[in-house]
Amino acid sequence: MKKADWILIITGLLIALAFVLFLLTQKNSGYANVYYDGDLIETINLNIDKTYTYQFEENTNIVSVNNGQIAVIESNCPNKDCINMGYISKNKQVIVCLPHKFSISVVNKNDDYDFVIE
Amino acid sequence: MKKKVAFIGLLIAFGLALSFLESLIPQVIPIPGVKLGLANFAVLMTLYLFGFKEALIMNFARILLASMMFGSAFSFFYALSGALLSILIEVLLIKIDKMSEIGVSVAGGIAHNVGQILLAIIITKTIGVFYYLPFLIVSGILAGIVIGILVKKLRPVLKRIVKD
Ligand SMILES: [Zn+2]
Repeated sequence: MKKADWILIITGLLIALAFVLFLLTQKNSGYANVYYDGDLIETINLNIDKTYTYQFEENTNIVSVNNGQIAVIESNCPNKDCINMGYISKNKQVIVCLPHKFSISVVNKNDDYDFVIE
Repeated sequence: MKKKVAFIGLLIAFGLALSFLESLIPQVIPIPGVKLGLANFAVLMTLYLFGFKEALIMNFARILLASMMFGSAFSFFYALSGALLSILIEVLLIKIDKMSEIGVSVAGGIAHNVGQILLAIIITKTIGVFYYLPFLIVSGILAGIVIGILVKKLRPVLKRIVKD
């Protein structure tokens, strides 16, 4: 191994570590934004257990809120990655269903910025 | 020349086998196309033994065949973006010649995963997808180290066979 190899590996690990520490300090924020194709569809209150169905064209995602957590429980997407991501509850956690351009972000309702690129 | 074509064919087949192996492993990070990138072994080996053009052709053929056999049109385009980014970074680093096979492989692994995440952000138009970045960097580094060591060990052996 050369010096540049070590620099690359250590820098990469440090960046990842910084990100993880930042994410670990995030709290349960109680709200989640639902996006379709970059548009905010609605903000869900995670303190109310409920099932939501989102249908855009042929794309269906069924979302469940349970015990302050949120997950996609059903989807007609080809890879089911969104379902496999499981339940999320912490601020900044994200579930994406790429084939459906559908995503859910846990947010702090007081944050006045949002995560969407216009 | 004939030998070279046959050898690249073998590397495609080997890359395909690695892609297949990887499709059997449950996805740790549930973003399409974000994988350990085992097939990068075949790409990197082609780069070192033959060059950029050969590696590009080899990888394109591998991704096309892999999506036809155990993927979809959808996975084809996702795989392509990360593969292109990683192959460009790798060829650049080999030219600069400051890193061993391990560093080049790690950089390629990270570039591959970062490429997928950028594409995911573009598609969902949701920048929050960046949340997955640390996991992607770490998996890129780990797979990169293993692949780099294998390339380093096997390269002289394969080189002898190609030259004979
Ligand atoms: Zn999905």
